[in-house]
Amino acid sequence: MAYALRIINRNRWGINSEDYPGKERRDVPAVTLLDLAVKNNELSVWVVDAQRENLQRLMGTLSANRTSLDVIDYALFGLDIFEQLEIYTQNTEGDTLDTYANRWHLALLHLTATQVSDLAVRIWYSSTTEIKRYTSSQVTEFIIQSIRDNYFALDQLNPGLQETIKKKMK
Amino acid sequence: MSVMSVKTGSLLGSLFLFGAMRLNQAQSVPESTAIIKNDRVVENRRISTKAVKDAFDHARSIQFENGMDNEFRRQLINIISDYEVAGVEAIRHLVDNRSTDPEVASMALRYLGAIDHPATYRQRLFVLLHTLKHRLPIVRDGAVLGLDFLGEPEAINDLASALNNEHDIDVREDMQAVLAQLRG
Repeated sequence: MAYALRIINRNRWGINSEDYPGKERRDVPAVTLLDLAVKNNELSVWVVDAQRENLQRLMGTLSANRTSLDVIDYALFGLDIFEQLEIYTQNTEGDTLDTYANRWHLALLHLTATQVSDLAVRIWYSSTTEIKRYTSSQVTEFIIQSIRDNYFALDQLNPGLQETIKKKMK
Repeated sequence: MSVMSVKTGSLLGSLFLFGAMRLNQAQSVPESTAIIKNDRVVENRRISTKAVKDAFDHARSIQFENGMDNEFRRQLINIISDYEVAGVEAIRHLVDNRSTDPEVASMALRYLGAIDHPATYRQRLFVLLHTLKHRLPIVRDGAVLGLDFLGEPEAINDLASALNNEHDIDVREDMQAVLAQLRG
């Protein structure tokens, strides 16, 4: 089974918390919606293969798109959630430095407010969901490996991140 | 915190002289710092503790996004660049303050580790180690992520000790990842 990956902020997804707003109603904290903020009623996710062989490459290019070195948090969940919520999906070109990885982009289209809030609930309560973090050291390795594999070049990074990675590569 | 509570052999203990001087100041913040160049004092700057507090207060309205620059991060860089040790101490004071927003405190610690400023390296390391014992998991987590940025192997013992006492699953995961990284 392939997975959907959405970049999030783990601090907003206290799945392991003993208590959180809405727990008694099987609801989720509203702050999770910040990680599902739509633009033109669309949302970006990425497809990760069942063996997760493309996960690190994806992490490398998604981290490389940012302005500074930092942790990267993500939610990994079953693609079947979109079907359950009748969310229309379409493979579209992603917008990262790694042109090959851009083909793993999936757009969620024509989203309604109910679908977005239901998506947050499904992600939270699905037994297959993983909320994970790679530390900045791990992110550094992913970016450096991507540069060495010629997925993108050092000088394509944002100036602040470029300077940091350049020092780490020495 | 007392001298007796410092664990023997920990880096935090060896950095204690720096910390004790400040921790015993009953939450006071040093307001001036000497800028020394070529072994002579060329300038004494007074740090505006209100300016540092304002930076923390304004940061409450920021929606922090990992890896994306923001005004708070830029302000912390400027504070440390301008006021060096006194700047670090002012930040520590606010991180320890119970009225500080926990997410802001956590991000401050993360940035404290990420900032490239060799002159305050030991002080920033001390603050991060000290904060591993903070009462709130999100703040402890910020300290762990700050230590990851510093990449200081001397922090291993303190971090391992903190891991033994850590109950929060997410913070534990981060501690384990950073420890693995530091141990190479």
